[in-house]
Amino acid sequence: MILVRLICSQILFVMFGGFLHALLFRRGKSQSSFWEKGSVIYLVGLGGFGFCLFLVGLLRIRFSSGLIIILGCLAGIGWFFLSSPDIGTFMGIPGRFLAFLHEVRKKFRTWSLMEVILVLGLAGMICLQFLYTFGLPLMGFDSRAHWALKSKILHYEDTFYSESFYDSERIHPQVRHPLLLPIIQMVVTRVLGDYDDRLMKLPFFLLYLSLIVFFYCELRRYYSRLTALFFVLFLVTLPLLSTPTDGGITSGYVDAPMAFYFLCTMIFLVRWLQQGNFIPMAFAALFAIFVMYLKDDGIGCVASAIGALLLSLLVLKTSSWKKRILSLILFIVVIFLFLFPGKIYSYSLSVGKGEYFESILKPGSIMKNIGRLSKILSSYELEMLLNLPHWGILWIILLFSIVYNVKRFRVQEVLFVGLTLLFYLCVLTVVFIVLPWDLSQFFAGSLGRLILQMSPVAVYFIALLWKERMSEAGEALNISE
Amino acid sequence: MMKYFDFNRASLRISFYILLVGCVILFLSRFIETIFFIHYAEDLNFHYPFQNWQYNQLTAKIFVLQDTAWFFGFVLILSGLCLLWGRPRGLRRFVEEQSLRPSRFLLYCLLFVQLFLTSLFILAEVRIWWKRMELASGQEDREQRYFLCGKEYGHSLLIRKQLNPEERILLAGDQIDPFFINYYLYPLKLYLYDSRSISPAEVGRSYVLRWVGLKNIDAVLVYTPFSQKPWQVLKMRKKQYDPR
Repeated sequence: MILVRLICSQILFVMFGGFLHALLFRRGKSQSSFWEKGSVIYLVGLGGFGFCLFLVGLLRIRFSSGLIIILGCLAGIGWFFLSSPDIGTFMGIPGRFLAFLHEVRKKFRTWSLMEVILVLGLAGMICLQFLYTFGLPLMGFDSRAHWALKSKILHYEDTFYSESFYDSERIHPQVRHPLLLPIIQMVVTRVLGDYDDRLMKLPFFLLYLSLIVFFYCELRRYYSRLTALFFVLFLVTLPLLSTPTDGGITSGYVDAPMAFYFLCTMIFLVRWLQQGNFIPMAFAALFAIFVMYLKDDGIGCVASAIGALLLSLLVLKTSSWKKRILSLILFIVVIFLFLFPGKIYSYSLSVGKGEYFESILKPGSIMKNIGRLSKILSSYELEMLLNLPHWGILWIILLFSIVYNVKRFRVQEVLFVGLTLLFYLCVLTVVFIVLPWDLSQFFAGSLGRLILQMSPVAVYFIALLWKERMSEAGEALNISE
Repeated sequence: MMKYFDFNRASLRISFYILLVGCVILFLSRFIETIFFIHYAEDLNFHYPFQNWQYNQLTAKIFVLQDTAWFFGFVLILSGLCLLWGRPRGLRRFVEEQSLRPSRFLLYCLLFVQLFLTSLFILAEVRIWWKRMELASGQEDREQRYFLCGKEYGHSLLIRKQLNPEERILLAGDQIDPFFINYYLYPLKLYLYDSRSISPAEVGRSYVLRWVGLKNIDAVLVYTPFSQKPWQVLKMRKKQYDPR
């Protein structure tokens, strides 16, 4: 019975994702493959359903199990009316999967030894994360004390307008943190009917799987199967992403899901730069909203991406640059309109001492603490270049790739992604300068996780940098082949 | 193959040795951590992560040693590869004559180093968890098998039996992380004295008692995780606790 309920909870996300996907594709036909479409539907559904419930919660409607199921079913009906063929395709997943396995078995002999090794490596990583998801409870501090506590409150109290959030003397850390992740966890536990800190990690695992598929499909647009597999394995084997504690994807921390959604935002913005049409922009806006609602740091990520996009449009002008800047302005207006309700709610809450530093984020306070800069930069160096147990040689490969492919910065999308990473690092630096905490202590526990937020984008950036050197005309095969 | 990597030539031989030593150092540095953690797994109280500070001095030294080893191992690998690359009939020539693109070969080399490092990391990680599972397998309680949160979970069940969710509770104690405890004790309504934690000795002070009266606190929960009796519930309303 638990298994059935668990599957039902995930079907709710899929139905909502399918509805949003169909809604956006009313203006155009999706060119993506079945697997890419499926992964995007889950990614959109997970964030979209959580966000929708947050908006419902703002109206002081309680999160009862009935409400959650009705909302999911309504989305499913909407999906059916908007795009019934899509539902049929989706219902045929088991058949598709069997056909896929059959095809793999048929083509297996044509695979090179290297491809087989990479696929086995990928399968091993997925199995490991599966074990971490269901074999271990939440073990990190933030995952329990911050995120799971919020989901527990929502599970038992059905609302975020309760004493647990509003009584400033009650123990509740970082009360103003966005609620998207706790709401997603709450959906699983409400459908399960019981609070279980292992089973509520299932969305993280499926998010991980969806991202692997989506990232692979994206890379297959311009890379051979071997190279695409290499980059995907490179991403999923980042040590800090793979650990069951301290920020790993199944650790219950928000950083890895946020990093994945940030990567999705960047991929769709790059597609928008390449194609210039509405649909990638709309998806990018959706993912950007999820990034901002997962953690406040997400606002920094999205602001960095917007700044980088604007600069790359202005520096490397194309024929339609004015039209694109107008689209970008619309993008900014839309995502910040959606951010508005969350911020109104969060500012209605009182906070503990030293928890929020907006009040000291002033030019004066930056100048006053500028002496911290050397400490911050040396910590970056230690963390990114020398902390091999966290990153392997990700950042060394990134630096090498930049030096080796410096001419690629004349390409708009490469400049955009590179500037985004640089700007986000600058945002983090400014925050660290004004942060009223002891930096040594803070960095010991948190710097790795903050860098983690941009690591998937860094892998994508490396892939973009090598695109010209690595891709061959004959290699750009369609994923379905 | 030998025409590219002729071991009779001293320079090539040295390059190979440098590369090999780099790989061995990297591997050993990973091994240091695995051995260290497994050796201390029985001593380190994984039930309560905040207790690990007793070992901070030792872990700091181990980590410095490990980081240094990582760094030198990696530098040696890079030096070995560079030296091999630049030989008259070295790696570069080999790559070109095998119809491989040098850029692609370089990227694959780097990615392989990354995967090698990660596989070492994951092997160590899996071994550590396996060892922890073995250590915990003797315990029958399902929650105890979670070995990291088992102790808090067990305590929280006992505490929740003593108090009810309607009561307002002041949390006091040494070396506690109230946020962490709160996750396990929810739905109990926990309060901190003026948003800070107080020690058991402070509970009887007049300023705390005044605050307790003002806030209509029903009970004080004294939580000292490292003592024999880790928790103690003092009911204010029933006058079980009287500072005078």
